[in-house]
Amino acid sequence: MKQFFEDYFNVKKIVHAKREYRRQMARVEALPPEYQYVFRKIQGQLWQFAAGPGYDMMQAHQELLDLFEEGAAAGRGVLEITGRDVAAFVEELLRQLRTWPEDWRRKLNRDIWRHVGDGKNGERNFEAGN
Amino acid sequence: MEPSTEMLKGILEGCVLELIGRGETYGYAITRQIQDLGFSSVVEGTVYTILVRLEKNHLVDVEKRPSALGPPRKFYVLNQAGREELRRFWAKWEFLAERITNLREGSEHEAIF
Repeated sequence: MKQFFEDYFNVKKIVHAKREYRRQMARVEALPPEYQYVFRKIQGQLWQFAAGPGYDMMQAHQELLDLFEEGAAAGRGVLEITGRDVAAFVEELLRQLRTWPEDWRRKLNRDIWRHVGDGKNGERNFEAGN
Repeated sequence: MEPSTEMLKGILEGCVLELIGRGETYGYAITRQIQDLGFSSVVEGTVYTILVRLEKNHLVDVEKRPSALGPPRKFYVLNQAGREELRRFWAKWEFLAERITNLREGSEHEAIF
């Protein structure tokens, strides 16, 4: 609950975020056209699927921008950076963005383990959903 | 006979850990080394998502340094947890390689009957 108020009503944070956002947009516009196009397409997908308040998205965007800027500065084509299967690249990014602590996977497993016991000899399979 | 990205995915993280373990390095250098191994389908973006995960899981220490070309560049070294993870990766690889090879050799025997 506190997190909710911090994310949505903290004016200082919001102002800072807006400034960051404008700074980022300027960087995007400085990219070569093909990089810009791909960046915006990816951005569209991320916003569609990412959960929770936007702040970790900011960091993901920063990092993606760093990657693109470095590639552009080195004179490489954008598909050399993302690979031809850009959708696969986005899928990986989305997996990284799972920041919401109560991800449905963790919750599902936790609820079940609590209810029926957590498997052989009380061993937990930490690989699932981690 | 290059495996698909799907098959490589789990293994690539171990490869990246191994390469970082050999000395401080950065994304592009790691990508080139993996490509030179023969995995030409691995691109910077692939390595990038792996590096993000390693950083998130606190397996590496990262330092940003100004670069002549473009934005400041991130340099990576393994920390203690990263070295442990690398050890575990090679152990898993050994296990995997041994078991799968056994499976293959087993079926060659069965074919005689």
